[in-house]
Amino acid sequence: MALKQRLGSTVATLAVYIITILIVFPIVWMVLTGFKDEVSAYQMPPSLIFTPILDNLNDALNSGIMTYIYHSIIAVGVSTIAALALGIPAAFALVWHPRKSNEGVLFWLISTKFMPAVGVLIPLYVIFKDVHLLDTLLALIIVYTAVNLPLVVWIMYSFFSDIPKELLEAGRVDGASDWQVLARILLPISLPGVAVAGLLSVIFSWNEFLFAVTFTYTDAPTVPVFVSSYMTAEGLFWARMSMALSLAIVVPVLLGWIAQRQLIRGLTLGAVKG
Amino acid sequence: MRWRFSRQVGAVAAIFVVLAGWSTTSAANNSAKLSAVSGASSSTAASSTTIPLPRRNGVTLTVATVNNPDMVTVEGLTSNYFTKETGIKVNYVTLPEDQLRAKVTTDVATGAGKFDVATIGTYDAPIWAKNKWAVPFTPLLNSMPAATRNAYALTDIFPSIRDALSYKGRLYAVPFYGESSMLYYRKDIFSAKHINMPLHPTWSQVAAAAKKVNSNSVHGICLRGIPGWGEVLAPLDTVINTFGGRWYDMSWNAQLTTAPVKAAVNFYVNLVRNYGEPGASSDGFTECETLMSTGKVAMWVDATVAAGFLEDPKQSLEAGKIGFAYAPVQRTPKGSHWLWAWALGVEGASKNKAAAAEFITWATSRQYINLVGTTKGWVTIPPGSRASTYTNSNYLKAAGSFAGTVKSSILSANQHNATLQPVPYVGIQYVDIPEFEGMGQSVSELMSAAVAGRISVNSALSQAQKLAANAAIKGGYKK
Amino acid sequence: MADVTTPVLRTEPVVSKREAQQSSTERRLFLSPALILVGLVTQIAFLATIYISMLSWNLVRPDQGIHFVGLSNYSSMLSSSTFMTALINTLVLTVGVLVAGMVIGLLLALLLNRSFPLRPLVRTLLITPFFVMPVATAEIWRNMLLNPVYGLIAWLLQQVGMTPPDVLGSQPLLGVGIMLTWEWFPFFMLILLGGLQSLPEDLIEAAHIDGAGPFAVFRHITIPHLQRYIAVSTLFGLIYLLGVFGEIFVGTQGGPGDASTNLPFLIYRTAFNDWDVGAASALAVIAVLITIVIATGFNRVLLRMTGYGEAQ
Repeated sequence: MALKQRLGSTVATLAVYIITILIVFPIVWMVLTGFKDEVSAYQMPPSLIFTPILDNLNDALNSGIMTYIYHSIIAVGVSTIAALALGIPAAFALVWHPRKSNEGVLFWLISTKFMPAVGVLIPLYVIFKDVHLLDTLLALIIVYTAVNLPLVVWIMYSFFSDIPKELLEAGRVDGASDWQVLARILLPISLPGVAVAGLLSVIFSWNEFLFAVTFTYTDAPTVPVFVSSYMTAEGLFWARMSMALSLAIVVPVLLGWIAQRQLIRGLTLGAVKG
Repeated sequence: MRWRFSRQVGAVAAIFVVLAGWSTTSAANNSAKLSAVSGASSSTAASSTTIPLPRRNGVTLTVATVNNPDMVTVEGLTSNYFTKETGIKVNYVTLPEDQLRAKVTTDVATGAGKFDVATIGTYDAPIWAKNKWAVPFTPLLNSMPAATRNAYALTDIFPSIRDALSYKGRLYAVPFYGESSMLYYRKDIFSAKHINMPLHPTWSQVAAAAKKVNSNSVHGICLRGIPGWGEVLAPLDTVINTFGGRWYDMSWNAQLTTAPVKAAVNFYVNLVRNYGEPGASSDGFTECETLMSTGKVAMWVDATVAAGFLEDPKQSLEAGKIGFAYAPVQRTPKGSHWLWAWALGVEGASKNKAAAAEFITWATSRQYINLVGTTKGWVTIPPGSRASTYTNSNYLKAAGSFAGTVKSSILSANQHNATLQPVPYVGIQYVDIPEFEGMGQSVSELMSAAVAGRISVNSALSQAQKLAANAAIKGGYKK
Repeated sequence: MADVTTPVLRTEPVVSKREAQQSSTERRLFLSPALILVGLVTQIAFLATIYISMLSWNLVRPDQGIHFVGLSNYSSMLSSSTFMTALINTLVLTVGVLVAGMVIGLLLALLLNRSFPLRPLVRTLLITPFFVMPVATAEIWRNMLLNPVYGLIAWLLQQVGMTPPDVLGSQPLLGVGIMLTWEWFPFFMLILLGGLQSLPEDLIEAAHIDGAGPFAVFRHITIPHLQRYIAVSTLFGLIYLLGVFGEIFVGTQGGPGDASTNLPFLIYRTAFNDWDVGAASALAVIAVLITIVIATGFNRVLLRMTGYGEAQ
C-alpha cells in the first residue's frame, strides 16, 4: 500500500514536471528566438543550443523601447497607486458603515467592467480631444484608474469583510477615527489583498492595448504600442518580434513571480490567511 | 568609431543588419559598410545626398507611418540627414497598416488633427482628398525655391502612380514607394521538372505548373488567403479582372455572382486548395514571403516589392534560384496586375504645412533614394516610385534581374481601365469608395472561409453579392 | 472557517448600528471619490455611447452628415446574421475556456497541493502564461506553434507521419480557445490551490478514519469546499473572457469568414472598418445588456453555490 502510494506520488510529480515544461516551453522558445537571426528562427526542429546574437536586442533598444517602458511605468504605476488610494477607503467605507445599498454599489462597480473597451473608444477619444488630453499620460492614468478601481474595491471589500468582528469592535470601542481603524487594524492584516489588487491592476493595465494605441501618439505610447509598431506586413520578423515581445513581458512576469505567494492568498479573497 | 557609427545611424542600421540576417560573425561586412559612411565628413555627405531645403528651427512634425522596412529606414535616416539640415524635428508614429489606417482616420475624421504628415495608400488618397483631410501637394511644392523644385523633379515620378494619388486632377500625396504584382518561381525546380515558365504566363499555365511541381516538401504555389481587403482580395481581384469579371456594372449593380467572377474565384480557391500552401486562410504577404524564401513553395504571385527581398542572399535561402515573370493573365490583360503605393500627404489640419511639405519632398526625392542606396545598399532602396531609379546603373546592377518587369508592370497598371467591361469605379485590386473598407473586409472574410473550405465558393459569392449590393445602396451610389 | 462569499452578495452589517448621520458622512467621504471617478469615466462614456448608438454617423462619409435615427441601428444589428454568429461565438468561447481552464486548473492545483521537490519553482513557472500580453500569446501560438507549415506542432506531427491540421483555418474558435486556456488556466489554478490549502486537514483525516477512499473524500469534501472558489473564479473569468479582443485581433482577425468573430471584435470591425460609429455603439450597448443578464443570472447560481441563500 505504502509502496503503491509512493509510486503514485512519484508518477504525479513527474507528470507535473512534464506539464510545466510543456506549458512554459512557448515562452522559453520565444525568448531564445529573440537571440537568433531571422533565418534560423524558422528552422525546424528549433535549435535550443545556438550561438546567441544580440542584434535584435540592440535593435529594440535603439528603437526606443526604453521610452515606451518609461511611459508604461508611469501610466501603470500612477494609475495603480491611484486605484489603491481610492479603492481601499471605498471598500473600507462599505464594510465599516454598511448600508442596504452595498449590494447595489458593488454590482454597479462590477457592471462598469461589462462594457467592451472597443465600444467606448471613439466616445472617449472625442472627449479626450475636447479636453486636450490626447497623447498625454494623464489620459491613460485616468482610464486605467477607473477601469481598475472596481477590481480593487471588490478584492479589498472581501478582505475587510473577513476580518473577525471582535477586532473591528475593539477599534470602535477605542474611539479611534476611521483613518486610524483602517491604517492600524485593517490594512496590516490585509496586505496580501493589497498586493493582489495592485498586481492584477498592474498586469491588466500593462497589457492594455486598445486605449493606449488610440489615445497616444508620440508623447505617451506604452509597451503594447511598441510591440504593435514592430509588427509588419512585409519582411521576416519573427526573431525581432520575439525579442520585442520578450522585453514587453519582463516587467509583469517578474512582478508576478515576486508576488505569487501573495497571489495565492489574495486571489482567494482573504479566505486562506492565518 | 564603430560605436559612433551605431549611435549615429542608429536604429535603422541595426534593423537592417538584423533584417539582412547578419550575425555578429559577419563583422567584416559591417566594417566595410562603416568605412563607406564615415569616409566622407558628415556635412558634405548630407548636402550631396539631400535635396536643398530652407532651415526652420523649432518646428516639430508628427508623421504617421506604416511599419514596412522602407519606412523604418526613413525613420532612421531622418535625424542625421533631414533634421540636421533643416532644423525640423520629426516624431514618428509607426503602426501596421490596419491599425495605422484606424488611427489616422479617427484623427482626421474627428478633427483632432494631431498628424502633420500621414502615410496613405492609393486607395486612401482620393477619399482623403474628397473629405478635405489632405491638402493638394503641388501648390506646396510650387511655393518652394526653383532649386528645390528642379532637384525634386515631380515628373520623374511614375505617371500611373501620380494618377492614382490624384483626385479631380490634383495631386494629394507623393509616393514613397510603389508596387505592382508579379509571379515568382523557383528556376531550379522548374528546370529539374522540365517545365518552361514564359515571361507572360497565363493562369492556366500556372495551374498546370503548380500541379506538376506540387509535392509534400514543396507546395505548388503560395497565394494569400487571410481576411483583409488588402490581403486575400488584392490577388483575388486581379484574377477576377483578368477572367473578365467586375464588382459593379455601370449602374452600380453588384456583379459578384456573374459567370466570370464565379469562374475566377473557383479557379483561385481550387488552385490554392489543391496545390497551394496548407493553412492558406491564415497567410498573407509575410507568410508567403517566408514560405518562398525558405523553399517551402515553388511559385508565388504577389507584390513586386518582394523581388529585392527574395534575391537578397542575406535574407532569402533561395536567392539566385528565383525566376521572375509578369502576373498571370487569362481572358484579358486588363487589371491582371495591381497598382499600389504608400505615399505621404500633408494633413488638412496641420499647422506646419510648409515644413510638412518639405519633409515629404526630402523623403520622396531622388536624392533620398541615392542616400539609401549608398548607405544601405542598392537592393534596399524604396522601389517603384521614380523613372530615374530604373535608369540608375547602381540599382540595375543590384536589381537587374527583375527591375524591367517591375517597371513595366507599374507603368501598365491602369486603375481607370482595369476590367474587361466598363465599371463606374476606380481601382484595380479595390473599389475606390469609402464603403469598400468595411464591405471589402466582409467579402474578404467570406473568400478566406472559401479558401479554408468552410463554405462553398457559390455560397461565399452569393453572400458577397448581397454585401456589395448593400454597400452601393448605403453609399448612395445606386440610384 | 473564513467566509469567501463574494462581495456582491454580502450585505449583512459587520458592526451594530451607530450614530447614523456621522457614519453616513464618513461613508460618503471615503466612498465617493472612487465612485465619482468610475462614474465620470465609465458613465459619461456609456451615456455618450447610448447617444451615438441612435445616430447615423459614418466617419469616412462626412458628406452624408450625422442624423438621428432612433433605434434603427439596433434593429439592423440585431437582425444581422453576423451578430448572431458573434454572440454565439462569444458564449461558446467564454464557456469553453471557463470549463477547460477550470478542469486543467483543478487538476494542476491537486497535483501542486502536495509536497514534492522544486514545488515553488514549478508553481512559479506554471502561472507565467497569465502575465503574458494577449498580443504576445496570439503571436506565439499563431506563428510558432499552430502554423501548419513551419509551426512546431506541425513538425512534431510530421515526424510521426501525420498530416498537420490547419487549426486556425478549420477550427479557429478551438485555436483561440486553446490560446485563452493557456493564458487563463493559471488564474483558476491559483484560486483553487488557495481553496485546497484552506481545506482543514482534520476534516480529511476524520474522513479517512471513517474509511473513505480518496475519491470519496474528493467528491464529498473537496468539491463542496471548492464550490465557492470555483464561483469566484468563474465570475472573474467571465468578466474578462466576454471582453476578449487582442487574441482574436492578432490571432485570426475573426476569420475565416466570421468563424472566430466575437462581440468585441465585431464592434471593432464595425467601428474601424465600416466606420459606422452608430452601429458600433449600438453593438456595444447590446453587449453590456447581455453581460448584465448573464451576470445577474450568474449571481443567482452563485447564491446557491456559496450556500449564502441557505444562511438567510
